[in-house]
Amino acid sequence: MCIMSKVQRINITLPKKLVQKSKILIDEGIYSNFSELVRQGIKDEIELNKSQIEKIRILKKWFEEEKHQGLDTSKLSKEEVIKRLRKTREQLWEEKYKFIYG
Amino acid sequence: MVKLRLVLDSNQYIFYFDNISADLLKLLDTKAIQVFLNDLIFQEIIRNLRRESTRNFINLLKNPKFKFIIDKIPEDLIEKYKKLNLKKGDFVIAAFCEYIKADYLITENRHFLKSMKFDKFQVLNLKDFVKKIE
Repeated sequence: MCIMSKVQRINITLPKKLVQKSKILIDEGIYSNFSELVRQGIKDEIELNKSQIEKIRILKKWFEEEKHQGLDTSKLSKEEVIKRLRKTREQLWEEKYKFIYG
Repeated sequence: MVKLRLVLDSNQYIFYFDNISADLLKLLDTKAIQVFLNDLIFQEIIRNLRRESTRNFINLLKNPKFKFIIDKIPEDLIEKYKKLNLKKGDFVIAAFCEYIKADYLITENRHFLKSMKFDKFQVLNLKDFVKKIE
């Protein structure tokens, strides 16, 4: 089995001071090498921002599903906006939601 | 800290982006709230939002106060609100409010505001809600 196919080599540029400080973690045996340190750092960051990453994934999905182009409602009065939104809600019901909840 | 759980109807977002009302910003300054959104509300907004505002809308939603719900709403809740003779699609919003255990539905939709009281959540417009929590 080719292990290399599951990994990707990337080049990163870091400030020298950051590299020097990170070497302490490796010298102290907390990480076995620089790659492991970076891998763990990225994993921690992903875990910390899990909910935000999930939110962006959902937003992207919803946005891709919506093919209609937005209308300019900025010239409409409050009442006209409400009427437009009523119409949109009814259209969405007919197009999609009646098949889910109908 | 117990956070109030809110569902903001699509009109409240559009009013903000069309400069009809800035109350949405006041609302987001409130610490103890969570705002829930589903795909129906999202699509209504996108269809009625001018292109220039789309990016701002997406950025607004990245605020941690907004929570997205992708679950299918249980049939029994849909049926419950269908029986109240709400308009097409409105019963999906009402059922969504109960499903996510909302404290308030914030809307300018007259059918919601005037037609009835709901047992599981209250209905207010944004202006009144902001006054209430100030």
